[in-house]
Amino acid sequence: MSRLTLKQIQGLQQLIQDGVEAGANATEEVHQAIASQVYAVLGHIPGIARPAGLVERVQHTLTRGVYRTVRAVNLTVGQVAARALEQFDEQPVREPGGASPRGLP
Amino acid sequence: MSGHRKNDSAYAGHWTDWSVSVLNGVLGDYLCERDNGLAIEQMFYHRNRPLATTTESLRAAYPHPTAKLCILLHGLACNEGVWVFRRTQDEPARCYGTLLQQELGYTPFFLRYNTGLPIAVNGRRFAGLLEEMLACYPVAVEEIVLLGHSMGGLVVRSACHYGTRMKHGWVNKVRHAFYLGTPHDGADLEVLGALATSLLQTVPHPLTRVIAKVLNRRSRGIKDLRRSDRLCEDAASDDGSATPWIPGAWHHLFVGTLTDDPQGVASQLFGDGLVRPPRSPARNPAAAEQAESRRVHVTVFPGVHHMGLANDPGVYEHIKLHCMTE
Repeated sequence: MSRLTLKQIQGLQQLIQDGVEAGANATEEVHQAIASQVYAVLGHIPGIARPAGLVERVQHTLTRGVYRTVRAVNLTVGQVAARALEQFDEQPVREPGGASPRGLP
Repeated sequence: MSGHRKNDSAYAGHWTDWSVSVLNGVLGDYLCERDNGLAIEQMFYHRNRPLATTTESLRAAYPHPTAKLCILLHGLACNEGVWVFRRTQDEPARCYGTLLQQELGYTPFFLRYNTGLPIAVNGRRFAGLLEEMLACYPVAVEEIVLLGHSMGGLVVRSACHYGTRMKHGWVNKVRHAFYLGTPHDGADLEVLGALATSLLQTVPHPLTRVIAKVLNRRSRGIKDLRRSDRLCEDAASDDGSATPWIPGAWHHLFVGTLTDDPQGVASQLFGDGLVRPPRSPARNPAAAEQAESRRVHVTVFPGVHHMGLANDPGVYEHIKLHCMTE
């Protein structure tokens, strides 16, 4: 039975970190783009356009802040996890000739 | 019986081995770029462990090496566990490699590689690895049989291209090349994937653009399956249909079909479920060249699906027959 090696576990940690980062970026992009469409419509209505513009700026800043926080937390957790994994030693690779079911490579 | 099952799962890989292989198939190029520890390094594997290409290591793994080698290359997102099968329920698990060893005296080698990398990269590395391995092999090699399942067949062709160009000694020793369900004319599923990505990119909506971006993140290995002309990296050989099939070897194209009727609509449209039967040689200059030299065989296996081609007793009997008679 084979298990993940330490190098692979470190790779998995890196991949999860990359995935969360990419996910946050993509979600923010969609979030902001869809919100902008609504504000673009409101911006054409007399009397509402100006306050809508102000609300848009506030909303945009808050949204950006939330996603920045997500990315920062992800980075910190990733760095802590990477440090923790560095404390373990890689198991030595065994030489060929170990147990294997009969008739199999 | 339960003992066999337990052992099989130990061999064919724990789910972690399969997960890593699938991950490499989908994102292998990205893992490589990021120097991620999950990226598979191309190596021969013996008993589910990497086999170093040194004489000592080869001697330890193969106490009775023979002058005939068979080398098996798995397909996209797989590992050497894909070759395992049982002829009857009560028999222990087997595979084409070990059967060729027991019945015809071939020494089997199983390649594991990062299927997400470009086919040409894997082909070039495999050509070099094979040359390196032969230099350390304890016995003078007289004959090589190459078996490639799906993408593995394209890697074989690419390796033959590089091996020929770099004047590797192993090329002239190849007697048979078996291509099992290999998409020599491109894979329709990847064509559809590329089309879906292009369509989503044209839709002016942020959500579809993100979905297109995610789809487009699929590996170069997968994208290379769209066309059959990605077997070499250099621009000079951009028209890959002209990538020659090595002369002097027999080339066997094994094709499966979803239904028992190879002429039926389902078989013609969907082939083995993922790969359609190869086009007529007239539309494929490389195949036509081989057909003229009478060294290419196409064999259809009705009712054998794509993955089944890698572990079917009937397919093995054909492989054995070709190795014995030609």
